[in-house]
Amino acid sequence: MIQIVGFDGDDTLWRSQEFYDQAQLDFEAIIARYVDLDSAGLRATLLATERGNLAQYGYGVKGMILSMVEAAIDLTGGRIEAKDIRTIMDMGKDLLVHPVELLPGIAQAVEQVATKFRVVLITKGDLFHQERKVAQCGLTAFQRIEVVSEKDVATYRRLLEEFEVQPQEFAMVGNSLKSDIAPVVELGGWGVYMPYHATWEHEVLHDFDGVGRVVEVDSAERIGEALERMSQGA
Amino acid sequence: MPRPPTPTLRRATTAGSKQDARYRISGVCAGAAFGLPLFRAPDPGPVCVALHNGRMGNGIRMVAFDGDDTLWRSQDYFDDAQARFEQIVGAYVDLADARVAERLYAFEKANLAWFGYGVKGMALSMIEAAVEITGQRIGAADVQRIVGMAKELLRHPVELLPGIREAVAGIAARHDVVLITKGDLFHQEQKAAPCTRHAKARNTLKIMESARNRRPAKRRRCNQMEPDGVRSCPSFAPIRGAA
Repeated sequence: MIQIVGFDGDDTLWRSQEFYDQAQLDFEAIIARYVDLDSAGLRATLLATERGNLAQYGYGVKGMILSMVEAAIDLTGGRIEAKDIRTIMDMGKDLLVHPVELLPGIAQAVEQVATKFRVVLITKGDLFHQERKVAQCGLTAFQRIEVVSEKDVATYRRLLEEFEVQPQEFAMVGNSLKSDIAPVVELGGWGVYMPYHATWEHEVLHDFDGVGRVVEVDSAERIGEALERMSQGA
Repeated sequence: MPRPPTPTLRRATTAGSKQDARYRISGVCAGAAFGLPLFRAPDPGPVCVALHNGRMGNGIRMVAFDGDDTLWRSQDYFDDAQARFEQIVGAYVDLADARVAERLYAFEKANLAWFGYGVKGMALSMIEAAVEITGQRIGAADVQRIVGMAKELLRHPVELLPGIREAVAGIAARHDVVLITKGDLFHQEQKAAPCTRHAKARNTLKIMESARNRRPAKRRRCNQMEPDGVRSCPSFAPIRGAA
């Protein structure tokens, strides 16, 4: 029987990835003035820099900007001008100040789920930025809010211990198979996978088998129904 | 001389802000902000004595420790980074005429609302300040040096302050002790326990597993403070970000 339902934040409750994607396009437009490299080449270099820095910066906008500055210097062979570095910085700040935009139907979905289960918010990334988004989102049903630096099996195991539930009593709703679904299923929990139209390449997971414990939904309205089905099967 | 036992912090919280009422726990905080008695100690020894003598008031069940500059060195590194920043910018402008320190502080203060505390925010403010202070003349190589400084700071091993290990161990023998540290979640987690997932990459996984097997009780969570990361802690359960 499912007791607790966890909701992811970025791209599950509120829009996020498209702002990063736009920043990426703006970054490419700046660098394209210095080097003759196609979009795929620029993207690959930036992704490699970001991934290389993840172990030091963690997730979030601040690390992304620092990685962009570093990649810009590398890609241009040190020719990038200070004013363009300033533009990259401003792009990052725009991301931080952007108001929270809830996804269609999610507020109602959370409310509905909260009438039957305990609901918690489990979001990954920069503590300061995530706290701001949580405060702005206006969703009050969450009994607990967890900002974590990584969503892996160890993190979920710790959280479930703190929630005092068994894995089979927990379901996670999210847009990332890698961060929201796979680790929970590996522990023996359940997943409601709600894909978002944009996914950061780092979050892409190929060949995932939900072993009958994952339901994919195409809209927030279907989350409640998916959880009901799971609960009956649990 | 035998090394004193490693203090065990049963729970740690990383808070974006320490002013939130939800962090008002019954215990001793590093300051009188919560209306609790304040005991000022020149070094960690008297804290232990004060607590044990009941000087802080009776019935204390939990003692909270701050992280940066209470358990481990922190501000020194930021000051050093600032000196190096001035060195970099000093190649472009006269430090005094351009009021470099003052202007950097102004950028940092203004950005705090967006970046919060921590090394990444510091580096971003420095880059922004460097661009402005030099009238957009700063070279990419110097910007790269600022980024490099941030990375160096993030990589810096944790250096416990003198006597604090013994103080925490002594207090932990009689009270529940917790760590409440402010700032960047990712960096604070790394400072609080060098046994994070990234430490696994440094081949400490085996040590962690054996440590986990020795855990005294199922629900007892420990977060051993090992600045060198040689002997580290089992599951990095205790740290959490809280909104």
